Amino acid sequence: MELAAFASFALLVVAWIVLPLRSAPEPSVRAVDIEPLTEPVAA
Amino acid sequence: MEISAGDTAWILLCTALVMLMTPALGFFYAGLVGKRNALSTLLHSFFVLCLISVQFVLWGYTLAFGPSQGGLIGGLDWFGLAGVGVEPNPAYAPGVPHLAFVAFQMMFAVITPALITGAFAERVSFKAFILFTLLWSTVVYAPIAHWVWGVGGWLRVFGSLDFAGGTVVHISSGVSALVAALVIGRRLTKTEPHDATMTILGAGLLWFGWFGFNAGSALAANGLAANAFIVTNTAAAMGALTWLTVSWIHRGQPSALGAALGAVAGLVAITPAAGFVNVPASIMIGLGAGTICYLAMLLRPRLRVDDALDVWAVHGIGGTWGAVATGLFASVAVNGAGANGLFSGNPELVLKQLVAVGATWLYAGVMTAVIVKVIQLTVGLRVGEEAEVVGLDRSQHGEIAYQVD
Repeated sequence: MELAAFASFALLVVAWIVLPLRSAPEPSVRAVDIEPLTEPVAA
Repeated sequence: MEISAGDTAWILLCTALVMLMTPALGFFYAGLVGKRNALSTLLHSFFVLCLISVQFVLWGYTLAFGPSQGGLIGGLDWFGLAGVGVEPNPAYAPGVPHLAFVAFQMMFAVITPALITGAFAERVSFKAFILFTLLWSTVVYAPIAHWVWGVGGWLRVFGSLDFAGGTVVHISSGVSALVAALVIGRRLTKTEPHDATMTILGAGLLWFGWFGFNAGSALAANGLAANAFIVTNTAAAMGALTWLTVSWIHRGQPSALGAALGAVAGLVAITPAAGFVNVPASIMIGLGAGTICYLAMLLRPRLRVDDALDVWAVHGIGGTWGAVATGLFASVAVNGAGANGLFSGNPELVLKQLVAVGATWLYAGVMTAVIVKVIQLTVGLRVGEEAEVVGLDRSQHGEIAYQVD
């Protein structure tokens, strides 16, 4: 059991090293568009 | 019977830890819904904490843990906690006041229906939610808790193992979530998680509270509690690492929300096993949880059920995996009061676990369908279309979560 547990963890570590990291143009979680709380002061 | 100061202090502390899990669940869920439903989602969890705190002391506890009526449900002998005092009940927790055991169990009864609220988020009326919670806790939770943990409960006598609630809490809520979502129907529009940071905060607080949930289920400050504590932490970590990795393989990027969901999946899966398995087994259980629950989450849309926050995938399937894994990995070397599992030469335990899983799926599924249908035919289930578009925060409560659009 100890060896199987070690192998499972080792497999994850190897995956993190070899997996490519894709750069996506759109985030999967949309940023919340926060409007300013106060009106801009007129010059 | 003598009260142990150490055990009593431990159980009271664990009760407070488990109490924290329900508002933490509110944050976990609220981050996953749209911003027009954040406050109502938080309120669902907070309200369940209040509602079931009263329901449990009046009739929930006696139905779950009272003198057994044929192994199916507790009697009403302890209605309103009559006869339940500071003297320990040796059948449940020798060494701690009976009232401390009640308080600890109360927090389990609180969080279980709160878990289901993730399935019908963003569309159910507040009135229907109140009725559902009260009926479900009485008709579904209490009997299943009695079967598994009550003295004379039929699954306890049968010999299936559930240390901290894989069947009682997670399978029952996960399956009920799927059924409730099926009857209630889909949301008009799907929303994206409005605040992932809130969800990760919620997951962290859930993890913290889960130490009380699992290690507290030893019902004493002892070695078994220490075992439950460390396997809980290990499975949560492994669940998070695995889900993140599987999502990375599948979507090309490691998901932050995936890490939070994976940690919860690992925590769910180790729950029934925490007092029966060792640390290496908890690594395997976390690995299985991160993989199986992720696949279940991918499968759920194909079932055409809008279980909004994937309660079934994480709790129903995670709990099922945990119950089966208990049958695989349990060892009397960890807990002499338990049993050996398949890998310790006892395949019979797997069959017993499958019976417990099947009975819980069936009973929770059927009874939830009945409850939801009854509510649908009486007070109605959903808010109107306009109210759903406006969001439940404004339409149901006249409040908003944020002073920004």
